[in-house]
Amino acid sequence: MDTNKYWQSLEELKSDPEFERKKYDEFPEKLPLASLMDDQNGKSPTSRRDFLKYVGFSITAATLAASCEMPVRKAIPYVFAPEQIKPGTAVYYASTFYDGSDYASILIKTRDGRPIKIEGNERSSINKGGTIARVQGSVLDLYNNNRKQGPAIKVDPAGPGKPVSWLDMDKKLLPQFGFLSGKGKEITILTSTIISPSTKKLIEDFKAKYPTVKHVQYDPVSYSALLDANKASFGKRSIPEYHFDKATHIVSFAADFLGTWLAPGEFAPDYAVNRKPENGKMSRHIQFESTLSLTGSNADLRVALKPSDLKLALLRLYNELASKSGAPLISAVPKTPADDKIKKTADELWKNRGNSIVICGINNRNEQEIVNGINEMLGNYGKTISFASACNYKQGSDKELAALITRMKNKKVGGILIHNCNPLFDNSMAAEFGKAVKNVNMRISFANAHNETDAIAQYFCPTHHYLEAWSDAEPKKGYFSLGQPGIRNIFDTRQFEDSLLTWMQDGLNPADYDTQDETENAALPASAKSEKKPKAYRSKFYEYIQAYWKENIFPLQSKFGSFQAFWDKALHDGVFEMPATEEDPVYSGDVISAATGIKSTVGMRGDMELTLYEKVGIGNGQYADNPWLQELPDPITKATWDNYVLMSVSDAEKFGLSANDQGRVFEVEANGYKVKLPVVVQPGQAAGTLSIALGYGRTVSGKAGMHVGKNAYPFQSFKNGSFQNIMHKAVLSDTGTHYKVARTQMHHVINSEGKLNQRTIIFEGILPELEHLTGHIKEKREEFKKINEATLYPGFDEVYSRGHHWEMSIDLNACIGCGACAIACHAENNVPVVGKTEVSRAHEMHWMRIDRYYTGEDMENPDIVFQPMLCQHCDNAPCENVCPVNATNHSSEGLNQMAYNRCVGTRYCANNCPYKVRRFNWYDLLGADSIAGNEKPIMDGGVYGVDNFGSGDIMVNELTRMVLNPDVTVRSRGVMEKCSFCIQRIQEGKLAAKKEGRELRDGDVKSACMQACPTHAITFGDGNDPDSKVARSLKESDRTYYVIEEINTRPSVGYKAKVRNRSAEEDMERKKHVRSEADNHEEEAHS
Amino acid sequence: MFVSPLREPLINGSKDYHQITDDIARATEGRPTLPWLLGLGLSSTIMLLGFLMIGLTIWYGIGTWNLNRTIGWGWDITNFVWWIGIGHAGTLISAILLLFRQKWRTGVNRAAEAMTIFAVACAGLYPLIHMGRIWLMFYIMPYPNTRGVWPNFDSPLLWDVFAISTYLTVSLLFWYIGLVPDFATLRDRSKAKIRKAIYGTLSFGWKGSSKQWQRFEAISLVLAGLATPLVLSVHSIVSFDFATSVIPGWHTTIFPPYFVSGAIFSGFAMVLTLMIITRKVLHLEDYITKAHIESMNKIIILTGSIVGVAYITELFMAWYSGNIYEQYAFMNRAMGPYAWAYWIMMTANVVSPQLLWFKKLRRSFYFTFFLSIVINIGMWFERFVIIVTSLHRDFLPSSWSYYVPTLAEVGIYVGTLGLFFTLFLLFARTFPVIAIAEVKSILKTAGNQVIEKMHKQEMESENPATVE
Repeated sequence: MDTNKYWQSLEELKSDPEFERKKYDEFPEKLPLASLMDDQNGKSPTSRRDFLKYVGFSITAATLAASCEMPVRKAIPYVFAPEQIKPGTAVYYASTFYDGSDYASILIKTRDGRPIKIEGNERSSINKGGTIARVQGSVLDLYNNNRKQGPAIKVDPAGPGKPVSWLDMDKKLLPQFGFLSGKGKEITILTSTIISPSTKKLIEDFKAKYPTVKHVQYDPVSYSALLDANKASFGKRSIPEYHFDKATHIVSFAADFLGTWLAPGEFAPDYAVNRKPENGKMSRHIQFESTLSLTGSNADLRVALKPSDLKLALLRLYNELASKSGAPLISAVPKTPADDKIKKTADELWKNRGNSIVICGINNRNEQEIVNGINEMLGNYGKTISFASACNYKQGSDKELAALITRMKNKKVGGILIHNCNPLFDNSMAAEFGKAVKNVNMRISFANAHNETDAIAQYFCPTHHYLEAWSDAEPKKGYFSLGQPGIRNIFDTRQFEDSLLTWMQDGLNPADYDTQDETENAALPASAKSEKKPKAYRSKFYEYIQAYWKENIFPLQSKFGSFQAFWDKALHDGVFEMPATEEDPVYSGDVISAATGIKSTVGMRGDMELTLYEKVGIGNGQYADNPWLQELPDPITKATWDNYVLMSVSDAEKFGLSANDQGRVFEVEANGYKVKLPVVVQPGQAAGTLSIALGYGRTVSGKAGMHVGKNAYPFQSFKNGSFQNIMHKAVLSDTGTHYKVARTQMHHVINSEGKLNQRTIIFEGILPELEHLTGHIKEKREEFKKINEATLYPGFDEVYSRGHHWEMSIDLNACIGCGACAIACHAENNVPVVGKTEVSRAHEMHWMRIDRYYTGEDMENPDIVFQPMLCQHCDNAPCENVCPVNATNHSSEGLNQMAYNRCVGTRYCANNCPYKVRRFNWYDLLGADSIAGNEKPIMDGGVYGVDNFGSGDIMVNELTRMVLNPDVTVRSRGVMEKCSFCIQRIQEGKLAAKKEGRELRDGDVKSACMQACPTHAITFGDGNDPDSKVARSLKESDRTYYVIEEINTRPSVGYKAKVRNRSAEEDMERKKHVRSEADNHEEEAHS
Repeated sequence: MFVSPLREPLINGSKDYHQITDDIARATEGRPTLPWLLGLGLSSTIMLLGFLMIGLTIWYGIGTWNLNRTIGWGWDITNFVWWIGIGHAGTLISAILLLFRQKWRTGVNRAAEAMTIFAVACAGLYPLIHMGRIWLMFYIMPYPNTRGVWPNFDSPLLWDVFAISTYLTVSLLFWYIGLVPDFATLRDRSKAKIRKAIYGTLSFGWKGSSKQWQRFEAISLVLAGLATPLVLSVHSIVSFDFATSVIPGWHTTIFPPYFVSGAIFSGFAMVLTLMIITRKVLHLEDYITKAHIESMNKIIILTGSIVGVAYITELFMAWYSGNIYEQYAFMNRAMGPYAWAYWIMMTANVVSPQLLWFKKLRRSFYFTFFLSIVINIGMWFERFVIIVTSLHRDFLPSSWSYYVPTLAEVGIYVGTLGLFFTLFLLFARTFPVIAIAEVKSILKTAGNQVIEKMHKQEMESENPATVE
């Protein structure tokens, strides 16, 4: 046997014991793991805890690395963190609203750096914390898709502008000013009225730099005649201050001073002061007018007259007063149908000399001069009407616009700067202007949104939206206010004033240009490129305003020693008021020649006369692109998204239309212009009168405004130095077609038919019989109380008497029906806009609506009551018990709540709501739906292919959605919604009180509608607090009632009965008028 | 056994048991006929169109319908109540008439029960699709959940859910139990293997033993006892949807009995419509006789008159209550913009059934068929009038409105008719449309040979001379 020994090493050969031991050991050296795992007595260098840490880390790291691709999100940091801004907390900035026609001192509510709501500034003695609808709606314009994105120069006259940088723009424009000025060519700055003292000064400076600069102001709805008449009567071309709060008698000839005339935001609160019957006396308001206006519907006595008769009535009123005062009479004034009423009016006015206001809305110098004569005879100047703090708005001159067109025709104008007006649309000379302006070499438009004037502009220098800009204002002499931006400019825009400041320089400084954006920088010239650094937003105009205030306004006061302290206070408050005390000028008017002028125009009247008016929603057309305001129902007709021809009931009969045959299309011809519009038969419209609203029919605008209605500006004529809104001859021809006007309310007169007058919805009475009214209310309420006590379910009154109980009081006497609350509610509660087609299907979403009821028997001139209607937050709510899923329920504080998430959309609650205030999301209106894209058919023209402008992509896009209030859920489709009493505001107020460790005080919580109401008709608060305004308002007033109280819903919203200041005889007379007419009819039938 | 010779025979043609089986089972055997195929093609096409409209509604939202802020329910709930009403006859015939031992019910009960189930299925569709967010419909179910939210037990809509699902369950059970012996008959007659297997499974191994028959009788009685209160409760609860509200025209205590009789009224009309067609198409003239038609017409007179009295009572109460809202609601029904609907309803539901007092008309197939359609239209309008007319002008005139359905709403309604007839046609082909076993059970007492024999005996005893 072979016993050869094989060996590998010496150790093996020698059988070394150490080797022998190792030979059977797999791992000759100890694994480190052993020490890792060896946890005896906790002495190991690595603990089990470490092990778990490593495992955890590596798994997490592996998961992260392997699975999640992190999306790159573009976040925009606050480069300079603003002071005092906490995410999720609203910050308010005092600022100024001015759009060329209306002024308001406001607070901008911003959330996370973006303005979402406008509130009235209570420190202002002009609008006194209230706002009108257009002010509320203006915030939406900030986020309008139609806005211009930056400066542009038009190369091809037909095409759009080519975007350029501001530096390029200025390089191109700056030399031109000097050039034009040097050649003696006129450079016109065409604007609507400017009330900013700093801007006015700046324009003066600009004029000083370029001596050929001329500033022309005009107003789309002009008050030129009023100014000219004052110039003739007082030697001073200015508009006085009207003190409606001091007047006991107000007589208005077609001046809609609560809705659109001059300064409704100022007049409405003043007017409402004297409309409270509790104070024992009420002002007396008599309105003579052709179109039933918002103001006319609030009058104690309204007389419907054709425009020609209206003018004669003015003369007759003058004569009546002149015969009392001994002033010279106007000879041969024809009779009018309202002579008896004029006589009575004259008696009343004469008795209250010095306490009355007579105004006239006719834009013709003659009428205005007669009114001046009347006010002078009544001794109203210096008392209720005063030039001491004269108005600064509506300073435009129609004559100057006409003269400018002539100068342009004659090629005298070398450059035109168009700011805050739309001359190719908003006046009757638009077409002429468009032709003449082509003779101007340099045409600059400052419009921040696309409009009709784009067609002729070459240089687009879009200005900021007012919420992005620094500004100041002096609406009335001595009333100053400051405007600060609520957001950095969203687009590459530059304030008008900054453009002027730039063009006043001798050369350009590239350092002035904001070049924080890479791509923008790339487009800049090399010299500017080096300035690539982010810069804080700082307008030069800001310094200009400050300098102006330091020089001119700071010295007016003595309270603050240092300018900085004064400035800080003014900026904080938003306003600085130091009413001027100028002497009233002496009257030296010539009434007789004015009267002759009137008589001659009236002599040419036809069968039908046409009046042009402004609508409360879109004003002169400036807000035509604002979906909130387009969808705001007209206070009287309740029509949205259109203009139309208003026709009286008797004329409709003449044309063979029944009172309900709405929407028949007629062609209206007047002053050589024709337009086809649907007819709306309007009770209260004077027989023989047609009315058409201005501002519609925009052809260049955003989606909301395009082709809505028809343009009525070309009807105007330029006569006697001003644009005339009355045409004494109009011809109507029936086209035989129909058009559906989207109205939110049908045509119903509250009368005995259907026992509508017995319904406990509206209580109304007259001042001399106030006790009768309150007695009637008391009697009825006691009866209802008795009925309601007989119940199996006594309710939870005991629960609701503890803690807070939110209640609201609405004074129907103070409510003028303007709709500011409805728009405020839109903004506050993300209420969707649905568009015209959907409104016509009664799908509008307004949480707060204003019901308009006609009362009385006279279809030709009914009385009107406005009733704001919102969720009544019934303590015995019919909606709550029928919801199968408990989505709507009651809070312990008396709120009827909606849990949107829980709602399945059976609509049972809406059916069972006696007030019909619940709103259902028929479609995905705000892009909140879980199925993305199903809102498309609404945008693209409706499920049924119906033209459906108004909703869809107008509101559902990234820019416009920035207006949404983050505190309020955006509702998806299929969900019921309704007024929440602004629960987010209640919660905010409660939290603030809690943080400060105090009880909630009355006034801490204001609903958006209450805040916006210009007449303070709405009071909201804790009804369980006996000292709260709302509790006192509801409990202490005999006028308080609850709508349909007998069905025992126990609403939290109380209304105060409407009272008119009219005598019992007048009340009877209105009824007799109808009776006599009926008798006539009978006689006719017999004969 | 004595049967009054005054009673008319309920089965004609001197049938024996085998002949009955043959006559009724014949329809399920053999090739489908052309009219049947055409009918199925038409109704299923209409049904699919309806489903398309439902799809549109769910995809785009309820805005595809013309309901509005004032009128929250329109054709949807009108159709719902209409279908539920139609679904009432079946259970009444099978349950209440069983308890009252009405023999004539055997000729029509099977089809009537089938109709009930199909109608309830059509009805059940509406509360689902009328929801704004149908995908959350489970919220109405009381199930324990982490949110701690329960449905609102105060809401009549929730009661509806329970009432209808209970009704559907019991009706389905009742129908199926009755079908078991007949399935066994079909199974036994089947030659094809698959057919045999299917009917075998459906018949649950029915052998026809005495014990099985005894249990069958017992369960039928128990189910009849359970179903009887349901006949009254379902439509009472549906009427609560309206009666418990505050809306004038809805808020009234008369609704439960009024709705129940209206439902039976319309249900019987629908049974008549269907049976008169089925009788002709499937050649069942011997089993569905003038006697059947007359019996049903008598119930129609009764319930139609109750409905008429209810209408008049409503008018009286509106006047007598002195409640101006109530008064206006009824004035508006009769004279307002929807007056046409009101007068269609009045004519069709109050006037037309009174014609049945004439025996000749009551026993006429053609007239009955025509009248049944009129009644169905009238009862549809009753629901429309109650729902839409009451809603469109309630308390605040500011919100008054008008309503016309869209294509989608009409499409869905027509679609449910398509669904109903599709199901009924399938039923007529595959199930015995007349309860074979039950008809057989009355052959010995109501077959014409028995009655004629009795008649003869009677004649003989009265006039023995003739025999000689």
